[in-house]
Amino acid sequence: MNIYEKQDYFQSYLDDKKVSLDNHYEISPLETHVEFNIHWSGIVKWAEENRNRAIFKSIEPIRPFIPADSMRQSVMAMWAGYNQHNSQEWNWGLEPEDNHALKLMIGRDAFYKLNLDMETCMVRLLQYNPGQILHLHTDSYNGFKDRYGDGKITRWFVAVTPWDWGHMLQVHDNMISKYDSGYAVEIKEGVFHLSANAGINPKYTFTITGFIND
Amino acid sequence: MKTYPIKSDLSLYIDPYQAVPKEVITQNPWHWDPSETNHKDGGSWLYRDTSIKWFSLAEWAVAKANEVRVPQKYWWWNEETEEVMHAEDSVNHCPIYEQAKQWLVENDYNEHNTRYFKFANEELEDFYEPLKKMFEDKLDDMTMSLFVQPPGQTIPTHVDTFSSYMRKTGEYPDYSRLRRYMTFVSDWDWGHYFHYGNHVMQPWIQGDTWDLVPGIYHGSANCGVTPKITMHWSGKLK
Repeated sequence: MNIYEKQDYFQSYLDDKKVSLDNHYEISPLETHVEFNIHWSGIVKWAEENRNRAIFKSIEPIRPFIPADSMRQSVMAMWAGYNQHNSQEWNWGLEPEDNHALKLMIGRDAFYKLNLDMETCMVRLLQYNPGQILHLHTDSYNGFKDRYGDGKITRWFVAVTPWDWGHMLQVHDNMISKYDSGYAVEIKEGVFHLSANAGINPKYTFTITGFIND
Repeated sequence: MKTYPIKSDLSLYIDPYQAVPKEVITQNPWHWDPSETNHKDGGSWLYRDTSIKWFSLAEWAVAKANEVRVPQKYWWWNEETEEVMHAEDSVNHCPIYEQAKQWLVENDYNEHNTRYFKFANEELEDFYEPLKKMFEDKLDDMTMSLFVQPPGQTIPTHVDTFSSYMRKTGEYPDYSRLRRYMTFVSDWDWGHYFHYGNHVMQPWIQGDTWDLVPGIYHGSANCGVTPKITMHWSGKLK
């Protein structure tokens, strides 16, 4: 199969799952805004000071701990044209002390507003530099489930840097842009989404995964 | 992959305004503020063209890209000669130079994430004449280009500086008269992205035609899984 065929590999996969952009996904009930404990520039400064603790990665299908479906999405994305040069990510928060530090910067009020259990939440600070793309995918929350088990789990995208030209997040058929720092949208399990930085300034965002408070 | 050093010192914010030719800014005043909500950046949609069989053109373009296999256009920084390169052409003498340096030196755009196929003028074969008719009454010295942007590739944000026109005519551009029109050849799909200033174009339908009025910062990317195809006309307003 050729990547430049109009109906490609990934499209067939989406068709099999009956995922279509023709079906609108209403996002407005999933959007909110949170206030961080510190200004976003302080979070960026912390990231820079702790760059040696970040994970630097790019698209890589050989990750045996991820579910087969996620692995398949990665392989299809590589087949479509994603590679180590256009999918780079800096990622902070894997170490427990970094996860804790990020939670303090976000603040208890924000977790309360997102209706998440702050203690068990997993926070990741992501930096996408210009030219870098997180390809079309769904989230499985697998890392979270491995640590804390199953339950009512969700994930939020939270903008750290305010929108700049070329920054984007697409959640199903919603192209999200022009947001402020603190803009938050819930990315439910199984919803296809992607993000990119086609601008000239870095894009910093949080993903916050956790148990939904009863 | 092992990571590698950045080319220049990081700064918290890179200001695009500083890199745009002063003539463009003077002749085409714009707000230059990504947080501005009171703007008319989305106001230059022209019409949905039905004079061309756009899907046939998309199929033709995809077939041509498959035939060529290697995208003809990409941006890169020649470390040795300190030149901004667009494929095999140095653009150090062109008005895009400072903007391109922001992409390639201050940032990490390179030959791997800026690739696209380009088919220009007579290369458009049977589509050449009907496409020419669309804007020949409006533009002198018109050039036409069709871009096929594969998934994973970006055309970084920029203001048009008409370097190809400069190469064709040998003239330094008069930005008060130069114009570019664009039509989306393929329907909007996952990850197809085009921002025109603070307006994000989405969703679009094949045939949607825009007047890309000069001086507005814009860029595009294909963050999806199918090719994004656009058609461009450039020239001097009659």
